[in-house]
Amino acid sequence: MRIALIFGTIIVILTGCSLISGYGESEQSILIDDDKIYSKNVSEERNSSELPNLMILSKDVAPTAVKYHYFRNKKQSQTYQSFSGEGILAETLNISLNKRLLVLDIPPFKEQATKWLKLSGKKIQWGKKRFYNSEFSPVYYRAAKVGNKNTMCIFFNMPYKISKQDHFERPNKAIIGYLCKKSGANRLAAIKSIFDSFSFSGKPAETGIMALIKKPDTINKNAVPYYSKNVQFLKISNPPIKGFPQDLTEAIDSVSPEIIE
Amino acid sequence: MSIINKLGVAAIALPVAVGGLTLTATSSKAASVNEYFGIDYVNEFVLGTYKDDSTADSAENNPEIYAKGEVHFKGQVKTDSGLTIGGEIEFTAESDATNNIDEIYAYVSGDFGRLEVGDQDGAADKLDWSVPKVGFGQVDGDYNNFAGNDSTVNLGESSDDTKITYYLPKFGNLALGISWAPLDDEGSTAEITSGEETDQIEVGAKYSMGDITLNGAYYQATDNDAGAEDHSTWSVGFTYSFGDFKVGAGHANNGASGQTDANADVNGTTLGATYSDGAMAYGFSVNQTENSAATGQDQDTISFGAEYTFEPVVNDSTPVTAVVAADLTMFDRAASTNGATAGDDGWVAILYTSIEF
Repeated sequence: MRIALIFGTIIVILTGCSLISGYGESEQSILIDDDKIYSKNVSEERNSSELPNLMILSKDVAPTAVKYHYFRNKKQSQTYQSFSGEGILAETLNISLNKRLLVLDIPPFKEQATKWLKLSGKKIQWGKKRFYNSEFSPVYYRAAKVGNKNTMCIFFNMPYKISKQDHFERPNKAIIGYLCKKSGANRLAAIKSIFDSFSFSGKPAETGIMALIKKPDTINKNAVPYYSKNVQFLKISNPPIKGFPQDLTEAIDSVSPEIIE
Repeated sequence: MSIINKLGVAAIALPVAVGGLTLTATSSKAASVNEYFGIDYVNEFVLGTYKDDSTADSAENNPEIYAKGEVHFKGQVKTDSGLTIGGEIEFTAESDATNNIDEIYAYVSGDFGRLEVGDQDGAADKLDWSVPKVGFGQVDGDYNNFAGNDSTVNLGESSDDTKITYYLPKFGNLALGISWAPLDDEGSTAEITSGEETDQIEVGAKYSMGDITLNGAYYQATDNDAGAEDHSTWSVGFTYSFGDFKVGAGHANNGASGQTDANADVNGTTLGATYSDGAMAYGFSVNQTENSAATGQDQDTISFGAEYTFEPVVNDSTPVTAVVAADLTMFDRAASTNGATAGDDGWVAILYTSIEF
C-alpha cells in the first residue's frame, strides 16, 4: 500500500512536470507546423492568382501561414491547405469531382483522422457527432481531444455540392479536415462561429440553383484583405496526408433516362 | 469538467432548448433553396429513327421525337446531431401522361443507416449492377421505344411499388439494403387486385475494393395469377475502373417469374465499356438476352454511344447540367419459341439531350 502510494505520487509529480507523456508527445507537436518533415521543396508564393481560395478567419482563428498543394487529373481536383498561427492548426482537403456520375463517399471521422500524418500515433478522445448549416456550407463535425493535453480539435466534413444524380445525396464537392486550437473556442457557439468564418475568398461555397439568379453574398468581407496582408502562402510538394491523393470516389448510375420508370 | 464533457452538456441542452429538432437554414443565407426545400428540374428530348424487318418500310427512317420530364419537390432537414429527415415527390411532366406522380417517399438517415418509406425503387434496384454507359444508355437505354425488344440487363424487381426499405450502415466497403413491398402496387390503393404479386422482397449488395465494384441483387414475390410461377430473380456484376476507362460485366436471371411454363427462362448477359475524355465520353455495350418462354424471343444487341456534357459556370457555380448524346443500337432478334413471331433484325439511331437544374 505504501509502495503504491509513493509510486503514484511520483507519477503525478512527473506528469505534472511534463516529464512523462503517455503518448510521447507534447501539445506543441500538434499545433506547431513542422516544415522539416513534410514541407520539402517549399516555395513561397505571394500575391499570386494561383493561391488557394479557402480562407478561415474569425476572432478565434487568425492564421499567419498557409501551406498548400494542388492535385488535378481528369477525374478530380484536390487542394490541400494547412492553416497555422498562434495556437491554431488546421488542415483541409478540398475535393472536387469533374465527372457527373461520380460522388464522394466520405469516410467516417475516425477513419478520416488516420489520414492526417500530423496526428499520426496520437490518441483521440471523441465527442459527439454534430451537424451545423454554416454560412459557408453544411458541415458535419465531431469535436475531439487529441493527445493527452488540452488541445481541442474539431474534425469536419463539408459536403458543399450534393449530386443530383445520387439517390443517397452524396456530394461531388466537399471539404474534409480538422482544426485544432490551444484554448478557447470550446463552446458550440464558438465552434459554429469558426465554421461561419470559412469562405472561398469571402464567398460561400457553391449553392446550386440560386446561383442562376443572384451572385453569392459576401460572408466574410475581412477574409481577403486579411489574407493578402497577413498570411504567408507556401507551396509544398508533399502534403502530409496518408495515401494522397485520396480516392473517395464512387461511380453512380445516371438518373436519366430512367427517370420515368 | 473536460472540454469534451462541456461539449456534451451543450449538445444535450441545445436541441432540448429548441424542441429537439432544429431547422438548420434561414432564408437570409446565400445558400440555395435546396438547403431545406428544393426543386429539381430535369427533362429529356429524344429524336430517333430506325429500321427493322417487321415494320412497313414507309414507317421507317422517319425521325420520331418525344419528350420526358420531371419536377422533383424535396424537403429535408438535418438535426444538430446529424440526423437527416426528408421526403420527395416527383411529378411527371409529360403532356400525355395520365399518372403524373412518379415517386413519392420519405426517409430518415443517420448512423443507423437509412430508412425509406413510400413509392420508390428498392434495394435491389439501387444497389444492383449497372452496365457502364453514357448518354442515352446504349443497350440499357430505351431504344425499344422505337424498335426491338428491351434487353435484359438487370433483374426484374418491384420498381416503384409502395415499400419499406432499409439500408444498413456501410460496413467497411460493403453496402447492404433490403426492401419489402406487400403488394405489386403504388399509390393510395390498399387492396389486392386479382392476380397481382404479393410479399415482394428485395435484397441488394454492393462491395467496393479500390477500382473494382461488385454488385448483387435478389428479388422474390408471390404471383397470384392462376398457374403462374412465383417470382425469383437475381443478378450479379462487376465494374472495373482504370484511368478514363470503365469496363463491366453482369448477368441477370429472371427465371420463369410470372410465367405459366415452369421451364421458361429469361436471362441476359451484358458487357459494357466507357471512355471519357473531359466533357466527351464514349460507350459501348453488348447484350445477349435469352427468352425461352413460348412467346419469348432471344435477342443479341450491340450499341455504341457518345455524350457531351456541358456545365456552364454561372456566378462561380455550376447549377445546370446539359447533355447531348447519340446512340446507334443494332439488334438481331430470333423467332419466338412457339414460332408465332418471326425473327427480326434492325437498328435504332438516337439523338438525345437532357438538361437538369
